[in-house]
Amino acid sequence: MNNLIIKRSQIVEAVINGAPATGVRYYFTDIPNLAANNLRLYGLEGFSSTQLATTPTGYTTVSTTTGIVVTLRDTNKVEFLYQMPFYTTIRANNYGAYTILQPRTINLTDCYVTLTNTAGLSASQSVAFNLYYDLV
Amino acid sequence: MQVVSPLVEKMTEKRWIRPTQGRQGENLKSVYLPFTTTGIYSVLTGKSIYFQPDSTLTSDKVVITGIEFVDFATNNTINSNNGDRTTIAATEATLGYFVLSNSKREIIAQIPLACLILRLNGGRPTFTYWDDFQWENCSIYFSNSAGTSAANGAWFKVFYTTK
Repeated sequence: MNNLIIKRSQIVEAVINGAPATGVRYYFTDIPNLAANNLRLYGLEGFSSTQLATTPTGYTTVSTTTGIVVTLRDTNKVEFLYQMPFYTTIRANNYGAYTILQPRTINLTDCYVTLTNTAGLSASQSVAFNLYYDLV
Repeated sequence: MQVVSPLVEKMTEKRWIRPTQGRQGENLKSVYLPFTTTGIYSVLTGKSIYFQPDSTLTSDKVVITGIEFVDFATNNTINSNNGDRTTIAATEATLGYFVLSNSKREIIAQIPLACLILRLNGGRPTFTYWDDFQWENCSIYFSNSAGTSAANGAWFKVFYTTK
């Protein structure tokens, strides 16, 4: 079995703006560095408050992980990762295994998280990830 | 005969994935940051605490192939040149980051300290492939330093191979 090698990483987040609601898309905050055409995303890792209490931008991370799903879209607007449970992206929940993806260029501001259950979530909490990528 | 998918083969060649088995043939260096009340090792919220230059960990000589953070439950005391320090508990590690930079001070990777604790990740090591870095430009910082003091220290296990 293989596991991911970290070559470059970038912390990204989708902030729950306003009262948490199901069916709402909470888009990722733009990171211009990730828009490079020669960038290949090949893995990700989710963070709850057990891994990261506060994001670099100062938002508190979510402590409840079971009512959140994440969707990633590439530069062709293809949802190549559709509604993956946030819980399973957390490495500690998978005996240390990262989520490895087929390498591709993403459009971060098209990527989003949605809530399937708002219990335990609050406004201005952050659903944070580390994206693992390389420049080719 | 072993069947390997083209995708796995490509990702292995690019050094994006590797087998989870041990670290055969790799070297290990423990690096300590013994915190102090004042000066470059003092802990303040948001302040970067930089590593000291290391004659081994230079990117013209080695590739960093892995990194681990040793927390209190793993080993509770650091014996450093600046005296003994208590290691950081996992709950406090959730407030800290490890930052890897290159000679241009570009941030290559930023990883929460708690994610680097081996025992919290099923014993699976954190693999890296960092061949362009400047160790003295690398640092840690805490988004909230309330639980950390001059009695503490940070302990990293850095795995590397020579070039």
